[in-house]
Amino acid sequence: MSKKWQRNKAWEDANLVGAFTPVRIVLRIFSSIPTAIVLLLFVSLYATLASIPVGMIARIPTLLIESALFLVLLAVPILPALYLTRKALIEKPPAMRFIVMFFITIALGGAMTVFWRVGIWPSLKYHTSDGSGFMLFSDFVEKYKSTTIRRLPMLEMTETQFYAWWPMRLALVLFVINLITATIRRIEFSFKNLGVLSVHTGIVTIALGSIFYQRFKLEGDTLLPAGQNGLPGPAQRAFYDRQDVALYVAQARTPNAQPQFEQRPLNDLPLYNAYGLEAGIPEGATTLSQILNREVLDTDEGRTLDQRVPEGAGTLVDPDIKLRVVGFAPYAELDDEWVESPAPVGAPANPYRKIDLYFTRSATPDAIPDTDPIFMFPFFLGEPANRIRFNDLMAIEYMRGMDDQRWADLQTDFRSGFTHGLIIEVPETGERLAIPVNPGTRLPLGTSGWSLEVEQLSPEPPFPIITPGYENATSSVAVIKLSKPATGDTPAKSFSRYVYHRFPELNQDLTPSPSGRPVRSDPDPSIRISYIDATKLQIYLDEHRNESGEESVRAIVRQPTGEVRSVSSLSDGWLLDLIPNAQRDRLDLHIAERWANAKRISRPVPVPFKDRDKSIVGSYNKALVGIEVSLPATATRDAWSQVYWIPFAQYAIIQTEQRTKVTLPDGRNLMLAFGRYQRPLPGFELSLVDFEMIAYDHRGAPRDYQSVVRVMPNMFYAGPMPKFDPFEHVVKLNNPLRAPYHWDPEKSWLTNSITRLRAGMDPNQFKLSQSGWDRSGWMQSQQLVDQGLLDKPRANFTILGIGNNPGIHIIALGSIFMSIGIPWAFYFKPYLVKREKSRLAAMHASGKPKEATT
Amino acid sequence: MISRTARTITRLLAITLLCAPSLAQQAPDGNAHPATQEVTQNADQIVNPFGEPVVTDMSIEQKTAFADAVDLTPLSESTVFHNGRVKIMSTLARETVSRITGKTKYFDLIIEQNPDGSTKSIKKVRYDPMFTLMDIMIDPIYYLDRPLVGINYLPLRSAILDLYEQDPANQGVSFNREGWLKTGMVSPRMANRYATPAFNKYSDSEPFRTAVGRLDQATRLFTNSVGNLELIAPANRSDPWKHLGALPADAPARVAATQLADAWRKGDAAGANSAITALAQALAEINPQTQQAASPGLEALYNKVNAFEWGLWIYLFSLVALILAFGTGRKSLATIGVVLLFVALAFHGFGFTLRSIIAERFAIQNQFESMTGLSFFAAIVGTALMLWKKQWLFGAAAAGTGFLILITATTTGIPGEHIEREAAILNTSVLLKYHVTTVLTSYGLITLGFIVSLFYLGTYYGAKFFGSQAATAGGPSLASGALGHLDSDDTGKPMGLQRTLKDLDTATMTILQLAFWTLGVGILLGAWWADHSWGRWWAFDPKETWALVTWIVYLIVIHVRFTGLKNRGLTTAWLSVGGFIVMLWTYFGVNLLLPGLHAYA
Repeated sequence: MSKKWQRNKAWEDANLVGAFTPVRIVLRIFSSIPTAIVLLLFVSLYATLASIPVGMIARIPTLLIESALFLVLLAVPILPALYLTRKALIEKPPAMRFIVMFFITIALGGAMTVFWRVGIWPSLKYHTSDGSGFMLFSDFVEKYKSTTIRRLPMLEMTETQFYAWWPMRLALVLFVINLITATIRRIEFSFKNLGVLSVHTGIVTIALGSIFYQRFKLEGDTLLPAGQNGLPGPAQRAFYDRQDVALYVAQARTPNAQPQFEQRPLNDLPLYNAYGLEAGIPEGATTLSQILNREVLDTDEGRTLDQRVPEGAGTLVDPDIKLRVVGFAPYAELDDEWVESPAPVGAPANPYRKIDLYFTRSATPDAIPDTDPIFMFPFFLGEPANRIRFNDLMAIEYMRGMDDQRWADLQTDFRSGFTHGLIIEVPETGERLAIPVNPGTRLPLGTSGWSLEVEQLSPEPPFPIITPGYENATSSVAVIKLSKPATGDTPAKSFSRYVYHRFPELNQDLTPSPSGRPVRSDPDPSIRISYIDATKLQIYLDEHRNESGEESVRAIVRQPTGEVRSVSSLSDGWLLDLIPNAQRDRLDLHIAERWANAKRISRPVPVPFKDRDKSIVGSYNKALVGIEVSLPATATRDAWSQVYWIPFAQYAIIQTEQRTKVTLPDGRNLMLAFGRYQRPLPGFELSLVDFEMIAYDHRGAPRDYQSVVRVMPNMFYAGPMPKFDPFEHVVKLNNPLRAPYHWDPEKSWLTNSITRLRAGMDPNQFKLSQSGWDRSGWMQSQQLVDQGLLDKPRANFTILGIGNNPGIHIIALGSIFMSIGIPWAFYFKPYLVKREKSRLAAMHASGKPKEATT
Repeated sequence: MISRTARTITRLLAITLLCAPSLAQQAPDGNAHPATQEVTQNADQIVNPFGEPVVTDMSIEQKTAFADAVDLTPLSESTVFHNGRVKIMSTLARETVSRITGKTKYFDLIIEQNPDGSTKSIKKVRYDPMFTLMDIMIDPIYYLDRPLVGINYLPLRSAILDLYEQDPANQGVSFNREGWLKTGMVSPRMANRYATPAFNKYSDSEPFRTAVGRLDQATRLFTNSVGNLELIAPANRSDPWKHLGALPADAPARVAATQLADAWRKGDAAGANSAITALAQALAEINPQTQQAASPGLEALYNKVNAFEWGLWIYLFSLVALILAFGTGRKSLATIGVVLLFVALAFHGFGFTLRSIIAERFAIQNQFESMTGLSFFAAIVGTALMLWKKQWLFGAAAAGTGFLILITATTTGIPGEHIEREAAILNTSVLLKYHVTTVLTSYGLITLGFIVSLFYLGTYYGAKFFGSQAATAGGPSLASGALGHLDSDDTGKPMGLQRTLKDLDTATMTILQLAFWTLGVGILLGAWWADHSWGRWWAFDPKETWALVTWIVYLIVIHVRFTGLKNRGLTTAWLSVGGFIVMLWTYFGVNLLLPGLHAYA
């Protein structure tokens, strides 16, 4: 206890009494070292909770029990053995006793460790795969194995936010007060105490610097596109915030027809947990997922969300359009969902039909299966792509109102054993042929003069179908070369016909042209061809109105071997015994539910936890936000609202595929995007002049990346403009760019130093570090270089991390105080004290009077 | 103007597609170690220079005899480009065998049976990694049903063996399940057939999935290890190496490879040795200047010496000698311990230096290297303290630190044992050396302090349990030996238990103060580097947070001694043990269990 502390305590005891007693108590508390220790323990505990998942913390009791068990196992043989050995060797020299006891300890310890490892640990060790072994709270541990407390729904904080939360702030404020009070009241302000004083001063300085730093800190990144033909890339005047996100809303368009986005910050958006995943699904509506028993991971646990999206000043969006956040999925895929809905007015309905497939072993003939279906297939009759379901063995096509000609073609009976068949009609001669074909088949067609050659029989179209309405649809295709010699006035014909098994309406002819590029046209009507693909079990179902005017479903079943049978009406909804076989194993089909109209909506489907990339948990990279767009009721219309799930875009302005277009009932359009908040670069702009990836020898892994960046004043910036001349800087790993102020070699060292110190306090001074690059572009261009097609590899963009560092020099000053103060306190002060003692001892020995020293 | 804008927009749209891979990143590019590439080229992309595998019908005894007769020494120093750097074949062999089997050498069992079918004897045969590498490339069929692929996750091993047993195809086949289980291995055929069904059964378990992933890598390496023979040196450093199979079929190296494969499959050791020499010579003649730049001789020396393994055992002997000196007070034991400590340090330093030269960097950039570095710095500081304070107790702590850390690094499969290219952000920084070295030194000092604290606790509780006479196994004279001067016990002062404990407490504090300072400075240097590289001096990354918590523990150690404790030494010793555990968590737990920016640490 220092004399200063004794003096202060004595003074307080004498003077701070009565009404001042609380002051004395407070002073004592804040002068106390135990207070500091308690606060430091609190900080450590807080850090533990912030960084370690609660599931991992819950394992501590198990670990303690296991450790205790191991120690007991060691102690049980070792302690008695040592006791007995000592007793037996009590008369022997101590050295000998020690050696014997030492080796006994080692031997028994080793033996027990092996016993533990081989005999006990394998049955004690917990395995999550089968639940064997010992683990207290195993379900809790498993459920929260990667959930830190700050991620729980009631908190939803990043690490930075959690450490900036009031309990931590309060603890740090109390600690700083404690530190200052204890320093002033306990430590003598003397030369020898400079060490501890500077350490304490350093900590306080760092704390003050951190407050300033946190107040103005901004960080994010910016993507700089490369230029063409040796020119710098387009200038970037903004950067994307690291954490803050916004809803991008555009109603107006720019002069070049691009959406004119405005940002609406989503400050209270959750980060880790799901909310309102069912938003957008009408209440009480039956969904297709429910009908098909498709499991959608329920991660919101009933939590909902309802946040207003604030409108910015000067918004260009009509004021009657309201936006709310009604759902959030932190890690999900956007998927289609279907709900039953009234048919839209003025648009064709999209009926839905479910077909169930049953399998029964050794079934009784004609018996209706009483088991659950093995597959359930949804069909949406208004969408060609959703009228067909298939796998490698079978295909089902469900149509409504199939034309009679196609129905007749599909029923055509070829001889058995074929896999591909063509039905050919030549109207001119009235000929109709049904012939099995293979690739390469060539034959003349009767007396018509036509001849054909099968060029290709493909299970998929050679090119994706892009006809509107048929997107994502697929069909097997026969490419038939047709030719006919000239007769009389009729010129010779020769072209290739693409014949679709599923969509005859898409058939087309490709006629060679002198340019070498074939000309597409509708099929020549002088010859009609249908293609039957019998490579797998084909089932064709058609809803139609029969001769008596009743709605019914008719069916055709074609075996892979070519045999065909048809049923004119599935009156009971069953199509039995699709593949007759000797074992009487039955595959049956049942026509199940039907909706008059199905409406497609989007919904988030959470990715199972085990499939999530842990490195992006805590970012919005895979997040979806549910936005309700609404219009109030007016005299001319009802109130309207619709929920849209918007995927996150890292660079919202350029990732156009992540945008969602909203068409309001009155025809107005709105564009929505969800992405990181964009902030302007204060008065300067950046453009990429050049980029290079420097690899280890022999094209090994990247060793460094360097972006040559040009910094220019931004004349369009509305705020105060910094004064600087344009310059270029090579940004490399560990060699950031400082802008707008930078170290100018043309200026003196002193001027540069002062500028830099001043910039260190300026929130508008940024540092830009190499952060990302266009790996695939670089690799692809490297291949072109190897082929001699390019001079050098290139990247299409670079990404620079950007952040300001306001007050970093204050923090640095505090760090210097600490770094110097510690050795002073530990090593220099004892030297001073020792020297002082020696001096006093010498004085004492020489008989001189003792001087006050401290 | 509009057309320029439209061009820009079009370009941006194109970039949108290209920038997809970068969108997911949290840490900047260059912040993580380059991914380990198990196989350079897949089998379908190369011409196998050894020809297609054939069934050789070689018995295990014949294989063993052949392995003994074949001399792969000429080829073991041939250079090869693999996983981003030029190395020698023996290094590639060690890495391949280690990654496939999980052990340093592949072993097989020769089982001799009695006439009644019972086991008479089991002989374990170990093979040189170079032989195993060549054999799995030339004669892979031999290994299809042998215990080759290591699985250190017991549930996966059990699941695969269970599936093998349950497979109707294996009914009637003699199968010793327990024997297989004990080897820690499965055969490539088992891995190929049963890993997927096992995965499907237990795919909800993350450790299971991870184990299956590792098994998949090992199996792929077994199947495609010939793809790693990028043995053809280019003329320039900027050009890539080529695969042996890319040479024309009549090139000397290809001819030698074919001859080698033929002789190998016939079990003709003489022919194989001749072909090995020819192949090594042919390879050495291809752009030798490029090959020599990789210092193959030094790498061969590094592989041969096994300096870290030797170092750790010598540290152990030094520790034992010094502990015995502590207990017996024998100066001769202390002298032996100190001499052994210097020998261990020499081995340790030799290994560290050689690794740094081969890796072309200061070798402290991954977990393995940081451990070898940490223990080296700690041992140096402990030895320096021993010489300065003239108390060999510090030497014992140094030896204990060296032994404990090196044995952990070399036997527990810590990541980074194989020399690989490291994170770009580390290679481009001068602050790395100061920040990491300082922090590692502090960790080493914490370990030293922990060991001294164990001495304290052992002495204290020994006295309590066995009485003060036995605490130091001999009373005053031995206490003097524990902390006495190196040259002699020339103080002549009696040194009892309290004096011993006081000296141990002083020693602990000497080390912990140094640890406190170096850790504090290390953290601040890291903050400086983070501000420079990442743009934020403090991000509450778990590594940062836990380094701070570790520092706080020692802050408490220092300040708690001012609070009028009854037994300052005992409290300090226990806090030192606690601090060591916290440091272990910071050093290992945070790296292995928590995500963060310090992916390479």
